Amino acid sequence: MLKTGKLTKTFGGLTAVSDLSIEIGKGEIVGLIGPNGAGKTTAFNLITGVYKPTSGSIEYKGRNIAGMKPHRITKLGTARTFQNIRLFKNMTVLENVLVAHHFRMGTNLAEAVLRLPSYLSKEKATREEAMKLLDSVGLAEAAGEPSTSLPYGKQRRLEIARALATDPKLLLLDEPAAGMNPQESHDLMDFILKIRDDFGLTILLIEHHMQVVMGVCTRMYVLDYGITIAHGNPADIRKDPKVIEAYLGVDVC
Amino acid sequence: MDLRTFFQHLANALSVGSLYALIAIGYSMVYGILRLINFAHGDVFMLGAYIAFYLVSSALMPWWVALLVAIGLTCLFGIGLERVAYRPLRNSPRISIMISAIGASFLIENLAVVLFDARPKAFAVPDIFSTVVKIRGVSIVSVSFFIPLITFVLLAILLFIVHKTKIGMAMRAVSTDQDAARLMAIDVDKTVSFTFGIGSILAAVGGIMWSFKYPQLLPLMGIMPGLKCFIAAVIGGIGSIGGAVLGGFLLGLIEIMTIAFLPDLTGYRDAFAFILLIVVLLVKPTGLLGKNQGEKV
Amino acid sequence: MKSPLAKIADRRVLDASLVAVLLAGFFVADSFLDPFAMQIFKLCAINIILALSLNLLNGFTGLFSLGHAGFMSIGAFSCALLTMTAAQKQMNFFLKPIEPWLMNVTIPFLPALIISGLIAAFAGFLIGAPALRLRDDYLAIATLGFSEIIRVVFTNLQTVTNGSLGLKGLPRFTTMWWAWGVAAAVTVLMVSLVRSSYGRAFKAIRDNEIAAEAMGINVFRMKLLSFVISAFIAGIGGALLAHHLTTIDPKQFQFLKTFDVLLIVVLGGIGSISGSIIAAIVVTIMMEALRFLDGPLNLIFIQTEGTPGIRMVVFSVLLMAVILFRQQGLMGQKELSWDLLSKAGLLPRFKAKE
Repeated sequence: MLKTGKLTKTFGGLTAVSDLSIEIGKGEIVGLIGPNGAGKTTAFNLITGVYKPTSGSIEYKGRNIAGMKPHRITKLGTARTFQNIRLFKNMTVLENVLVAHHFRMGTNLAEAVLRLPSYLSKEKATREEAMKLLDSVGLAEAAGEPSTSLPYGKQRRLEIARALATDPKLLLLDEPAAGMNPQESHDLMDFILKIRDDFGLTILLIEHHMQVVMGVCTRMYVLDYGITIAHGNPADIRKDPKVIEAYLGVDVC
Repeated sequence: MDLRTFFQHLANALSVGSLYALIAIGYSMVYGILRLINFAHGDVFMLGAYIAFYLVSSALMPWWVALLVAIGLTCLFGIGLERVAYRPLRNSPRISIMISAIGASFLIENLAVVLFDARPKAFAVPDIFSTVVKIRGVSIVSVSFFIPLITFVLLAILLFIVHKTKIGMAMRAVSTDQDAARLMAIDVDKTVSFTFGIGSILAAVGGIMWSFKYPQLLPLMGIMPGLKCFIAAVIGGIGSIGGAVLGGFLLGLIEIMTIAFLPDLTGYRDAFAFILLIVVLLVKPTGLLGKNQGEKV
Repeated sequence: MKSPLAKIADRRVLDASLVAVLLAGFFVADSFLDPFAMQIFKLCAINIILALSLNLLNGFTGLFSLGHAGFMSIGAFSCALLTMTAAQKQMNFFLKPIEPWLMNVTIPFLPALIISGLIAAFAGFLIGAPALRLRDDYLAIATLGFSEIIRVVFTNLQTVTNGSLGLKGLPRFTTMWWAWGVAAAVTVLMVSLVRSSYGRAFKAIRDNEIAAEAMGINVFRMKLLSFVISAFIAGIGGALLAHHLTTIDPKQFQFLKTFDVLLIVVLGGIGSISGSIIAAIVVTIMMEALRFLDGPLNLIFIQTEGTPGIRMVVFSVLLMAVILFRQQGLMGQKELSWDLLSKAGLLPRFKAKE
């Protein structure tokens, strides 16, 4: 589904990501781990079009997407969440999810502004879909609340719901478990597996919570200073000496 | 055009460029340190001229003392402006602080109209600046020599401060990363005040020398030069002192020389700056000497 | 015990009654307002239109544009040139004759109004396409720059705009019904736009551009769309203004004009339609009411000859006060609604929204 070939990104003198070559097959949950500053979010940004690669290739479903604008990549079926939650602060929970439906509505300005029946039926359908999504993440009751009124854990769930609203086939989650207590992380693990099955997703996951990563990922890539230092299944990675060295002092809660 | 006229235009361009450079530096420094377009800077320039005018014509002190006092008072005003209009909004969305800057600018302009009245005032230019000198048949007013001279002296002092003193280093640190500077125990508030102070001094000197060259004072005299000098700062690379100087001289040169060679375009003189701005923003938004400031995703 | 008021506690009844009251009010105004008051009344409507167009850009899409005066100017001059008769043009262009192809163009008001809006919209497209790629503060300066370029060009195009002399004796097409009619139409369209999916997309761009783009929204195209719509409405506002004042010249459309509209938007609340409407009316009236400040003042102990400029000082102070102490202005991002009035205790409680 997703394949990068020697993907590299440099900022001035700093090489954030170097020769990243990963491959993700349909239906897999793959992890991207590594100490802070290893280049994981940069990799996400490259895959989702926020950054242009300095060199290397990115292929999504066989199609070259390197350097494409983010919204086009999303239209092709990729969605993401952000490390430091980027909700639409001045909008309600429901509106946040509705926004992600916009490009799929197939409407035009005239019918929207004139409130034509064709638009109204699309709007109704969109709202129903959005409510269903919110229901599946347990946020249906908060639909009319301002998005900032949600507690942190729920805000993360909202972000995921919003990403799901773009009807993706590939979902990139950037540290979804950040700031969660063990119980919440456990729920998140179940949640990730559930949405993978319910929505037929392929998931790439950045995470520091080892428990979560080991629990849901079938494979992992380990980055350190932009370089891929290890790749394999959880059991192998746990024993890999290079990984342990890079991670000295990691929190394994 | 003969060589004589050409040199006259060139001399003119040089002094106009120097003035633009002086004022542009203020914009650049403030933007570098606060990411703020200080719309009111042009009005500080105007205030410098007016305060100087009132002090000089009051004849309470020798003219050169009056000028120094005027510069000092303008400096204090600039610092006060930052305290009142910008500091409270430091953590607010950028739009708010921009609106505050626009509001402050209008407030100062309208206060000037009320206090100084809208009729033009004639600045009593001291003789040393208004003597006409003839070099090989080219007549040049003495002020045209003083302006670049004073500009370069001030520039040298400024560069010394910025690169060789502690406060200068603090300014550079705050420009690069305000939070990191704070962690290094740099008093950000003081540094910002200092920056505004210096910018205001330069603007005041610019305003005074402007009135030597164009001795008619009007309350709204700061608007056009203010805008143009901001544009000059952007062209040269906003946030960079060298960029402001380069932009100022470039703008002055282009403005004067274009009119010199194509006098039919005189009516469009003010538009040159804006056209140049658009071109630069499209081709190299960070300006000729500017650096990129990206956003973290 | 149900009070008789509870019967009217139905939003639709309230909406209908409001429209009826307003319409009645307009008829009354038409018959009873003296010419001076009518001028102010019409200006209120025009300022509503201008404020809404700027708010769409600043408040709903988060684009800080300072070029509004430029679009007003384009709309004003376009409409004037399209509706003036050949005779009127001849009278105005005494310094240099008007361009021949403009001489005999005279079309009725409504099509001229729309065409002027479209011309302004087109200008918005040309300006927005490059300018919107820039970051917020650069966008502000770029749009200001364009606005000034338009002003300088208009001041110099003697054969098209009559240069700095401007155009006088324009037909007074902007009646109360035109002004308020267009204001009402713009309001309805704005509300509809903001509540639609496009409105949500605009607000998303305002709140978090990067996230909006990640959610499939073509941010650049949306920004451009917002810019063009805003320019269209501003052009129409400018055209209405031209045929209200019957005299226009490029000097009227300098940065000060943008400031006036910005003042209204900030006071009313950046991001609130009802806020803009209320602020437009209040500021327009206050601008006139405070005109006395510029004239001779008799405060018993202090008598002044007349100091022009005090009025604008007051407004500048007001703007500063709002931005420093109550950034959200009057309404912030909220809208005036029956629910709001109900919560404030001004109306009886409603049954829950369906």
